[in-house]
Formats: sequence, C-alpha cells, structure tokens
Amino acid sequence: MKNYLIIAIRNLLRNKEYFFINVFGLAVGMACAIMVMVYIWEQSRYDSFHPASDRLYRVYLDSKLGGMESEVAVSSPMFAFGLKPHVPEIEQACRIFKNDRDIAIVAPNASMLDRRSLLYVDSTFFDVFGFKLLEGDPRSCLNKPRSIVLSLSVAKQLFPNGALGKVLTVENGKKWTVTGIVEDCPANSHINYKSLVSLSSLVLPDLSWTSLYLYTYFRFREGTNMTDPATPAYLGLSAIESKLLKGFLQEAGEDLEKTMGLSIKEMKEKDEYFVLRLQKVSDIHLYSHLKYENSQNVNIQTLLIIAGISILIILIACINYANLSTARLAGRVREIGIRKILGSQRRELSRQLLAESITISFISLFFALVIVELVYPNTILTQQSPGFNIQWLMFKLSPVIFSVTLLTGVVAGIYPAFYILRFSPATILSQQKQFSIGGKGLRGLLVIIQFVFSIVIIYSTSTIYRQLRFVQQKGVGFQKERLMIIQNVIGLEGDSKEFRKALMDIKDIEGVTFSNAVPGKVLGMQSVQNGNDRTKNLMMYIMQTDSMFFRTYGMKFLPGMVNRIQYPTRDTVDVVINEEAVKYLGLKDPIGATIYRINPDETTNCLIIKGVVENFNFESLHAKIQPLIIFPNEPEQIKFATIRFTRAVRDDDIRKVKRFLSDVVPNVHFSQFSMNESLGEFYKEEQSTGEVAVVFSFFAIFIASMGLYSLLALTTIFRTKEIGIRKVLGAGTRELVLLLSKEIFKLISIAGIIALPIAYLLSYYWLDRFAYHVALSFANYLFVFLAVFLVAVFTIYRQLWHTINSDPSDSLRFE
Amino acid sequence: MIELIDISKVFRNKNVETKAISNINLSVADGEFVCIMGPSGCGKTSLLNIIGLIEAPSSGKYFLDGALVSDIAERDRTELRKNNFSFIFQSFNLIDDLTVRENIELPLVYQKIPPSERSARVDLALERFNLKHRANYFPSELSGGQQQIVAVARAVIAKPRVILADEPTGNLDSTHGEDIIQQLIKLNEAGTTIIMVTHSMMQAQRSHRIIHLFDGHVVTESYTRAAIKI
Repeated sequence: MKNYLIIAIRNLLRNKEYFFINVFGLAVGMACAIMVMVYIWEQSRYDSFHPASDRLYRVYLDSKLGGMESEVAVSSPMFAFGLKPHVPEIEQACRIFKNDRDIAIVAPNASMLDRRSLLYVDSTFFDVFGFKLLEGDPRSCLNKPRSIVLSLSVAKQLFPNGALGKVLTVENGKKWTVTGIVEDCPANSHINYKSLVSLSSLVLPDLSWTSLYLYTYFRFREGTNMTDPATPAYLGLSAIESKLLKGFLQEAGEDLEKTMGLSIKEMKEKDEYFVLRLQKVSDIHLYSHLKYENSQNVNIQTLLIIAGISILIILIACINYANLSTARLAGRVREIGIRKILGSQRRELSRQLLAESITISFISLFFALVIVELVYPNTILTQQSPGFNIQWLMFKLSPVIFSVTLLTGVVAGIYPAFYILRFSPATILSQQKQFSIGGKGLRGLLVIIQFVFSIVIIYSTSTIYRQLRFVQQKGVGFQKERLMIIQNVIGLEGDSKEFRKALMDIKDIEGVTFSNAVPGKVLGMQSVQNGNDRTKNLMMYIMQTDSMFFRTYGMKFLPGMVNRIQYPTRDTVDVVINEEAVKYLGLKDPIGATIYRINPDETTNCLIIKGVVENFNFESLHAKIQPLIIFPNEPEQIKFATIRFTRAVRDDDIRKVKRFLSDVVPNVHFSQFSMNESLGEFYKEEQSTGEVAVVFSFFAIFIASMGLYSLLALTTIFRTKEIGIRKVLGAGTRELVLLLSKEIFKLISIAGIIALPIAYLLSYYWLDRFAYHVALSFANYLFVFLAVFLVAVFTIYRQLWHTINSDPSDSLRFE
Repeated sequence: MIELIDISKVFRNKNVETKAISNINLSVADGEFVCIMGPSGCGKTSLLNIIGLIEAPSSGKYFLDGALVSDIAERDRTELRKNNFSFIFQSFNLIDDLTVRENIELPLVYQKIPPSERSARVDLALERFNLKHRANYFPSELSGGQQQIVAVARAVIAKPRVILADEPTGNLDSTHGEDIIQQLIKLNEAGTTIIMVTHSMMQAQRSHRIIHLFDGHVVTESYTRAAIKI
C-alpha cells in the first residue's frame, strides 16, 4: 500500500501541470458538491427538533372571495381555543403574534426590541415548541400579562448579572418582568425570536373570527388520523381540516356571511370558498409560500435544481479527470507496455492507477475544503441562516464526504485503469490512438454537454441580474427615490399638521404626507359593491391617505383631472381609485360614480369617485397591479409619514426629522426606512438565487474549461506526430492553430445552438413569476456565447502555442 | 549549395548535456547524391535535421545557396524548408487520417498551390508511382513498401531541390527497399540533390559520396565508383 502511494505521488509530481489541473478541477467539483450537501442538509432539517414534530401543524386560510384567490399564513385569534371543543383531536394550541412596530426599552438601558424578533405568544409556547427554556418555569412563565422571556444573548446584553425576575421598562412607562431565559433561537426554525412576551399583555386589535393577523399552531393527539378516507372530500380537505372547517362555520358562519354579504350556500354556488387548511410545521420552510409568511422560506424546486446541478458538476469533473488521466496515460504508454512485458500483473497495474486517482481525490478534498471555507461564508446561503457553523456541519457530514471522495477517486480512476490494461503490450506499444474514453465522438459530446451547461447557467444568471436591475429601475408609477418613510407614527393624530409644518420649513423637503399604508407595506382589503350592480360583492385593496399623498409620491391622475383631491366631510365619502379598479368595477365614466362599502355590521357607506390615479405598483412586481380604493385618512389610523426630499436623504436629515417628531409627540418611537430599501425586500429570494447562480456559473465555466483543456490535451497528444509531419511539410502556425482549434470551436458552436432553446426556456419559466419582467434578449445570448468562446480560446491558447512552437523533430521523436 | 562550417548540436536535459554532432564541416553541391553512414547514435539524423532546417544547430554556420541560415527565425526556416527540401523517413510518417491522395497533396496545400493545379499534379504523381488504384486508401490499409512509395511520392510532388531521406529502406524488405533506391536514383538523375542516411553499404555504394560519422564527428569522406562514372 505504502509503495503504491509513494509511486502514485512520484508519478503525480512528475507532471506538475497535469497534477495541478487534475487536483484543482476535482477540488472545484467537490467544493460545489460539499456546499450544496451542507446547504440542503441545513434546509431540510428546519423545525424538526420540536417534540412530536410529526403532529405539529399550522393553520392557514385558503379562500376565493369576490373572484380573488388567496392563501394566507395568518389566522384569527379565535381559532386556537375556539375550535378546540369542535375538534377533540387537538391536544394543544399556541398563537404567535408579531407586532408591526419596534418597542423602545427605557431601562435598564435605552435600546430597542426589534419588531421582527419580538413575538407575543400564548403560555403554551414551551409546551408546543421545542425551544429550550434555560431559566424559569416553562408551564407558567408566560401565564401572566407583562411577562417577558428573553433569549440568552438579549438577557446578557440587558442584565449582565442575571435577568430572571428583573424588570424591563419599555415605552409609555410599561413594566415587563423577565420570567424566563430561553436559548437563542436556532437558525433552523421558521420562528425567529429574540424575546417572547405573553400574549395576554396585549389588547388584541380585533377578536372577530374573520380578522386574520396572527399565526395559529395545533399539536394533535397521538394516533390522530389526519386523512380519514371515509370523510367526504370537499376542496381536497383532509378529515381534520373538514372538522376544523365545520367547527369554524358553526362558530363564525354568521360573521363570515355578514362580511361577505353572501350565505355559505351562495358562496358554494358561486364557486367561492373560505376554508381552513393545515400544514406541518416541519414542512413550512421548504413548501410553504403563502402571503404574510413570518420568515423567508425556500422553494423545494430551487433546492432540487441546485442538487441536480451539483451532481452534474461533480460528475463532469470526474469525467474530465478520467479524460485528463487517459491523456497522461497516453504519455506513459511505453512505460506501461514495458511493465507488462516485464511481467507486471494486471491487478498490480490497475491498483497503481487507482491509487493515483484516489490520492488525487483526497488531495483535492483538502483543497475543496479550503474553497468551501473561503466561499461558503460569503454567499447569501449563510446570510439567510447566520447561526449555522460550517465546520461543525462538515464534521457531522464527514462520513458522507469521505465516502463521496473515495467514490470520486474510484469513478474517475477506474476507466483509465481498466481500459488501458485490457490491451496486450504489443497493442499498447503500437496503437496509442485507442487510449481515449469512448473515442472522439463521445469526447466531443462531453465537451458539448459541458458547454451547453455553462452557457445555459451563465445566460440564466444574466437574466436574473437583468431582471433584478429592471425591478430596481422600472417605473413603479410613482417616484420612489428621495422618499423617507417614518413608521409607527400612531399617536400623531391631531399633531400631524404641526409636524408637517415643522418639516416643510426645512428647505430640502418638498412634501410630507400621512397615510395608513405605503407602497410595499401590507394593505387591507374591503368588500364593496358597484353602485350600478349591487348584487355582487367585490374585494378591493384599500388604503387611507391625506390629499398630499399623490403629489408627494409624484403620482399622476388620468388626463383632465386635478392633481390634488379635497376630501370634504359629508355623509358620503369621496375616494380615489386606480385605473385597475375602473376596469374591475366595469365603469365607463368613473368620475362621480358611486360604489358602496360594506361594513362588518352590515351597514354600507356610499363612496363617490373623485379621481382616477394612474396605476402604480403597491405590491412587488411579481404581482399584477390590483384594484385599489384610496380613502381619506381617519386620524387615528395614521401609521406612516412620508417625506420627500429635493435631494438624496442624508444621515443628518434623519437626525433632524427624529428631533422634530420627538418635539411634537415625545412618546412616539422613531423608526424610518427608505422606499427603495423597502421595495428591495420583495426581491430577496431572487437576489439570493442570483448569488447562488453566480457561484454555479463560475464552477460551470471553470469545469467546462477543464473539459476543454483535457480534450485538447488528448487531441494534441494523439496528433503530436501529425503536427510534426505537417510542420516538416511546411505548415505554418496559422494553419496548425486552425487545424487544432477547428474541431473544438465546432463543438462549442454546436453547444451554442443547443443551449439557446434551453437557456430561453429556463429563463422564461423563471421570469414568469414576475408580472412585469424583461424580455428575453438574443443580443445578451450572443454576448454570453462570445464570452464563453473567449474563455475557450484562452484555455486552449497556451497549450496550442506550446505544441505548435515545439521543434518538429520533438514531435516526430514522440513516436 | 549547402555549406556547413563547424556545426555542432548539443541536447540539454536537466542535468545531462549530450553532444550529438561536433564541429562538422561539410559541402554538398547541386545534383549530388550523398550518403551518411555510421553506427546508431553517432548523429546522422541530427545532421539531416539540421540540413533540412527541422532543427537549428547549437553553434557553427550553415549557408544555403550562400545565405546564412543557421540563426534565422522559425517562420523563415519553415518558408525555406517548404521551398527547398522534402523528407522521407524510416517510419514513413504518413498522416493516418488522410487518404493516399490527401497525403501526397499536403505539401502543395502548404505551398498554396491552387486546387485545380494540385489535383493535376497529384494525378501525375499517382500515375508515376503506380498508386492510382490506391488513391483513396488510408495508410493503415497499405503494406510498408507501399506506404514508403507514398512517402516518396509526397516528397517529390513539391518539386524540391533536395530530398533528405532518413533510412528510407530501414523498415522494408529487400525488394521494396530496392524499389525505393531505384526511385531515388531516378530523381537524382533528373537533377534533385539527395542526402540519404543508411546502414547499407550496398545502397551507399550507389551514391556519389559517402560520409562516415562516429561520435558526432566526420571520420572519413570518400567518393564512390558511381561518382567516378559521372
């Protein structure tokens, strides 16, 4: 064994260039496979640590109302305990509510509890979920109002000398008692907390069965039959889901009918529905893509594609290795022939060759781990789950990594080893031409596949980035630059005029407006009826603004309408609608037309349309613009203040505005963001897909270049003698370059033609998720193809140069 | 025509320096038939390669038609080579993927002869060497003798001034070997200068002059009866 290894290393070091290329090629393939392995392993184990995770479910709503289909992750606060009597299989329930504003801490030190990680939860939280409570009693710590459980890191930061029992003073002088310390939230959970407050501390905004704003989780009893085949299927609901729906309709049927203006029976007749569905908590991260998710989930299809690509990359790396090794073996043909003549056994020679490839494989593993260590922490993959420790994960996966490395060595080495050993010494010494994998045709095919793969992935990456640039630059129907949004201005109410006046005195501020929502932030929905046809209930998005809204946002009204709408106070309410709403309502002459708002108490308000604003994107560009009604502000509903600057917003502007706000309303906590930033959050998933695609593009083109290099290595080795003859006969450099590169460029051109429809199709499907997207660009395709072509030229140039410039007598001596 | 003054060739490996030929002085006149003899490793092939401008000498001066060519660039060497010299090797050195016709045609391609003229000249050569019926065969389908005839045809087609033959009969039986020698004598009679490396004294005796090499040096130089006949 030791002998094999020493000879293997000596052989490898003899030709350093091949050694380096072999090792690096395999290392890149392996690094890619390891990163994907680690990533998939991370992603597939989300929320599997909860006790009884196979019985733990989240409720979500699936509805079709007013012709609009919607699936939302949030549910009503009444579900958790109101449905329990109807469904005895429910063993435990828990609700999680996320407030939409940060909470300022006054004491022990001035800091803030971020709204994204501040959860209001039921006292059953530690019974239902598997998060470890380090201090405190899991059964009672969240029982009482004004109880807070801090995560270990927050506790250490706030109370270095022990937090349990201490009191936290928050805004408005409220005092919360620390009743527990919980471990820091594991990265592999869709629930993300830093502090947990008892839900009873909060006055919930609306206790109706049809208000959806918090997350409800159920743990079912052991042995619960989730899919009872005896239950008649309605909309594909499982047995338990049917029971939940039944209970819900018993409890909330009236509420629902009032809100919808339709009876359940009428809804069924109109093919409309409002049903409760369940999803396993451990499936949420990979499979759930509902509206109002509480964390960014991953698409299982993306994951499978990534896995497929990485398998392809390592396989191609193996094939390239085999090809390159065969090329190297061709240079050692004489040695092997002589060894065989001298009596070396077939088994010994194949062991020697396998030892070489396995050695290379393990040396490559070392470099692969170095690449992983350097690349992985810098990819978006880890930014999504910062708690993961790559070294620990690799250690945990080491048996798999070891096996894959061994397998790679065997797969890459077995072909050259056995192929060359099949021949008799005489054949070896006389017919070098046969030492190649499957002959010219198959080698050509492999190069084509690799280049198709590279072109497709690079083109797709460029499409992703073109689209991301497009979403940043596309007009969204308003001027999104130079806008500062202050959120949580609840409480400003009557003081808004004073605040506006103070701001408008600053010379760089050209507009201030107040509203209950802003583009990019969740808007509510409202059931309405067209004044001309009151038989149908229609669902439309709503928001409330003041009259300055349109000018501040730079929105335009349809021609002939004023850019400033007055909202007089009357029995009727004047509203503005968007162009899409005109179509949705089927209005020919919208100005002055009447629509009716249906209130939960069955009363209606008459709405008079005073203006039609041009369509603007208030959701992401994934969705088509929806019908929208804009109401005048109700002062107590104001949540956002938008300030338009004449130039880019600077840090001192933020400080100045903060000071003004605290002067006007001392108790309001200041929190601002820029409109561009807020809209950018819609494309986080695409951004991360783009980053993964860039990494893959790099790997793909690198490995394809390796393939090309090994093909050329083989070609030149087999044609060395021919090159010599041609040179002796008078061939110049140009003729030889053409001769050797013609075939390779032919293969790349074929790859270019095959890749075109695949790249187009893939990009088309990816872009399809956007309602507004860039067109597929042939010019861009040509550019990508040209770039790949140049990489190919660069790859073969050195080798060609070396071969062509060698003395012809060397080539002829090669024989 | 060819004049070598103090020509040496040294091959250098990492640690070893091998002198293949050392201070050789030699002149070959137009229309001469010269044979180079000597034991294996004495520098015959290296000398032939230097004369044929396949490799450059390490030192010394090489004049071709009075012009110094020992130090010229690879590109110029290629130009001079293709316009003056043709080669016949012991191992034929035909290109396996090309047919007999294409192999013979190759030097004309590199001389940029128009296709119609190329075709006519190849037809003539095939006729002259009795290879017409084998024109579309690949080298692997021919016997060694036939392959060497193709190599001779390829050497002749470019109408070179000098043919350099490196043991052209070394891999052939005596009948085929004699065929090749006959062809070379005919070419020489037609005015082509021939420089041939051989181990066979019988063949050498049919040339004009024999040069004996030993350990890279010219040890003797003698004229044959064939030369006296002229």
